Amino acid sequence: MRIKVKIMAPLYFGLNSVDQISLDLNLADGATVEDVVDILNELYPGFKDKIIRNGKIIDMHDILVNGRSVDFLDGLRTRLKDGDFVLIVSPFGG
Amino acid sequence: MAVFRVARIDLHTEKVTEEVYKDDVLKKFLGGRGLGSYLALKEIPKGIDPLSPSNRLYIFAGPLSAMANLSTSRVTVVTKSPLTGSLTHSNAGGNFAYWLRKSGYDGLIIEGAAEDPVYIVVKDGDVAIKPAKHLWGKWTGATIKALLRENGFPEEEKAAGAAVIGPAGENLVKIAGIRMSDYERFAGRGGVGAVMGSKKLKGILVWGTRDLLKDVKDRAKFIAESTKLAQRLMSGPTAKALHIYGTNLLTAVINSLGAYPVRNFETGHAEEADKLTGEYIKKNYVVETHACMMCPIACTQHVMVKSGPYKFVGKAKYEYENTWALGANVGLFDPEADLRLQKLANELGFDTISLGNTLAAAVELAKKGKLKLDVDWGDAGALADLVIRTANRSDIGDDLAEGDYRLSLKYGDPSVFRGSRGQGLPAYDPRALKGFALSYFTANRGGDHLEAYSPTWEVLGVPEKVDPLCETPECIEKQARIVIYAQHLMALTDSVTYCKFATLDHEGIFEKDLAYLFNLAYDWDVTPEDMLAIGERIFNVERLFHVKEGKWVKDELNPHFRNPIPTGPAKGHSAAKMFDEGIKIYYKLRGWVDGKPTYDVLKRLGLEEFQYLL
Repeated sequence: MRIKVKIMAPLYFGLNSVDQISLDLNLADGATVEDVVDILNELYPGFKDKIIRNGKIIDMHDILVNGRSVDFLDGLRTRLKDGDFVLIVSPFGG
Repeated sequence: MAVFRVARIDLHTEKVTEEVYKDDVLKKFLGGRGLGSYLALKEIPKGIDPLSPSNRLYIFAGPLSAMANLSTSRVTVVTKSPLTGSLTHSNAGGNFAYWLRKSGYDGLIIEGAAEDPVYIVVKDGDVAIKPAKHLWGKWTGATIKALLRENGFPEEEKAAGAAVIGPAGENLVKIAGIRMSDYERFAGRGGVGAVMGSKKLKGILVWGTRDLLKDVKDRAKFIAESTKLAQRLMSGPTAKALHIYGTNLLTAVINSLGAYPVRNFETGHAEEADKLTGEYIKKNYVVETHACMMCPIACTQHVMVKSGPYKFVGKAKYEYENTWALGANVGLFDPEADLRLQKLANELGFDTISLGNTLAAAVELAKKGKLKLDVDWGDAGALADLVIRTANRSDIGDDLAEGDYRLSLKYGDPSVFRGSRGQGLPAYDPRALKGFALSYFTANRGGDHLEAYSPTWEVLGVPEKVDPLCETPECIEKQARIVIYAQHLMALTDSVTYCKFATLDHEGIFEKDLAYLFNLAYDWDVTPEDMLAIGERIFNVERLFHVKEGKWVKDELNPHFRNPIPTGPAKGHSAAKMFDEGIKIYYKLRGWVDGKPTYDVLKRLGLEEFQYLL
């Protein structure tokens, strides 16, 4: 299946891009949000530690799947389906 | 003991009187929004025209403003709003609060009206009223430079504090704001700029050498302890993200949640918003990051558009709200056209949120054939033309200058007004962030995200995470409780004063820290619960102003938000259930009946002097 991933605020996450990072990923059926984070960690070594600590999303950070926080889905075990959109959310204020 | 010095300036008689408020009042209301609202309730006669000389402007810092490096240089303007016809408060950062306090005063009360344009200079305790006829008509940036130059300062906005209006305020445009120095800061909302214009007051310049820690019991300890708090604040992730990208990080997340209002809140998601994101604008247009005085976060982003049809001279300050209001909400997705509109609005002296609301209402009226106007969504040229006409009140601009609420009534379609209490809403759709279904429509000043900012708990999870779409009885009760807590905390931020951005993080500054700082600074003996009670007292005082005016007392959901969002991630959601069921719990928790405080509440909060209003 094919999903879309965006990383908000890459500079905040220590990545070498000012603008959002946008990726199209091919994943095996049954892949989860944690699998996506693992792939991102391969692409950007150390990334996983910037968003997950002790098996949970770090406070004031989030991961959205089609606009829903995984906190209100099945957490990092949330299963993805073809066409899903995953957003890695940094802290913010306004 | 805390001491709060106020200069009361009558522009008709040119008489200046000094007033001093001490612990007995300050422990109940602090300064800023709290003391301003209390005095406004006591002093502003019922039923006056907000643009008459009888109205007053309370321009107040707070008892901790500019004393600690904790985002504390903030000033609040309280007045009777020409837009809503009842009390409003509007808060700005920059350096005005710092220089106001350095000038020897913690607040200014402006009464009456001058015959001809004037400006006020406060320097080390001396207040002078000077002619400003030669400045009338000037844009805001040029006015600040002129005030600095004419009073012996370099034309550098850090050199002194300035508060000015542009043509919009001069022409009594009801969505005009007051621009504050240190680059395009605004006390924007509620039409406070028009009140200044009605008094023929073009600007205020403040400067001085007062020792702001003079009344502090133990100076070294206060500095050491407040520095520790600043370090803690900066150790949190929110401050770091804000510093790098500024407020416009919000575009990506709010759009993804389906809560990003598009074309006058028609829907909550725009596929074409990528070029309005903070990340895209940072990459292409941001030239520097800047800080308000006494702020460790430094979130301000300055942009330049150097070429093309939308280029402008010099730098501009830009934010999420402005980018949305003059972008997606008017169907405009060209970042350069958007940034130029923001610059134009700031120079003319508008509240950018209400300007965006008003333009969006005008476009919708035109599309429906109710207003004869050749404009479409996203038509950058026509929109810029309307902005200038509105500032000058020329032809159709005269109607737009009355704001979105009156415009919708005049052209026979109140449904195009998307606001509350006569003021249009900011950049979040309350159908997709349902905390706003309660916080927007209970906000005392109307159309407001800053009296209780629901993404704090609905996305960031501070103090605890609440599902923004959940409508179970448990979620609704939780939302009502947390909105009330936030309303009290936000009343404190505007009265202490410090920035709300210090409350978005678990490592932020909350009631416990405030009690500690006040006890340390002024030898007070207040608890965190006492601090929140001050917030509750302020919120009730503001509501009592509505009771006194007999206006906007009962909280009402704008009917548009009963309709489900038609597209996007939050498709099908409405604000109706959260509001209809939540408001009952909200009133019960507050001890109110139909939006009105009861005697028992006034007694509990020590507000018996206002029981005659009930």
